[in-house]
Amino acid sequence: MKRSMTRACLALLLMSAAAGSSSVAEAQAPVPAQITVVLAKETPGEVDASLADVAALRRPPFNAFRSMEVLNRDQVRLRAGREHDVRLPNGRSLRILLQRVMPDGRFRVRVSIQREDGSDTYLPLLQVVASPGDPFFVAGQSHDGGTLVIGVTLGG
Amino acid sequence: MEHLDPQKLQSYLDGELSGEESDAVERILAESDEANAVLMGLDRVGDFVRIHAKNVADEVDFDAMFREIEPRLVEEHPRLRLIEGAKQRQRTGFAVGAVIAIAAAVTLFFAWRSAPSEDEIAQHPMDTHREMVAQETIIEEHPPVHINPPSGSEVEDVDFGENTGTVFQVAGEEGQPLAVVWIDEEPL
Repeated sequence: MKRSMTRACLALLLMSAAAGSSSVAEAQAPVPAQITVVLAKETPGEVDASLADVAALRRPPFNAFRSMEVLNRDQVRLRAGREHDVRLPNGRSLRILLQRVMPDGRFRVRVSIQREDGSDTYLPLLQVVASPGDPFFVAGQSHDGGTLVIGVTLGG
Repeated sequence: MEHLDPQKLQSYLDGELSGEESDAVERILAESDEANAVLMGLDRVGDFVRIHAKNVADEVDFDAMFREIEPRLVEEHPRLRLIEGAKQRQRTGFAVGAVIAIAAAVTLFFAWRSAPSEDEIAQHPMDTHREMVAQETIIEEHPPVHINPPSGSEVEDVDFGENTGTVFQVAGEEGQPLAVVWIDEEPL
């Protein structure tokens, strides 16, 4: 009788642990993210076709740039609590950390830019809350006669 | 002098007079030896009756007397009922049983309440603890109110380090605010 009770309790414990782990796994499902690096220049030129539909890049101050070239477009999958590094054309690295998925579905992320030699952080901290499919931009780094504009979009 | 009725004196001895009546009797007793003598006589008679009654009561079988009276009570007064302790205990038992039955019904209701369906779970994918689903299951009369989260992106915190910078927003395709962090590379 005691042995059967013990086995029943163990079985219940294992089942509840399995159910709990599955719900935790759902909460930590990877979030797709796109990191687009654009070289924007004030000299007249072409604007990448894929950027034609990005309304934000047609508004000030971005509308001061006469040409936009997509240098890199990374599709990554972010997991909460794990950092992901994206190499930038200027040798620096964009480090993005998905902190959490909020109850309303928005994403809280932490971004930093590491220097080329990794000795210091160029941009120590940027914390953003973004809705799925709505980007945020990090701009201003000089490169190749232009300005780097980095667009980060999560989910969507 | 006012003459005192012996019955009034007896009532005074038994404590049955009002305050005013007692005061009036005492005023008369204070002025009349005759009234005091009558009062003392009544008091001695009262003592004699109480002692004799006690002696007689020890010799009387009151249970047998009540057994003789009881049938006549029911016969002469058919509406009178004997309320026995057993019936009172039955009523209490019924009340306890009713409380237990109600408690069991409430427990069974919550135990057999249907689990949330897949559609309900799909509506709240972020609700890993199924709190929203549980609330929707209980609140049946009030349809859930869907609150759209704010769209766009916003900066919560920024540290430009050795650089300076600006934080502002531009409008997206649907007019939603999109965060822009512009780094000014000129050193401080």
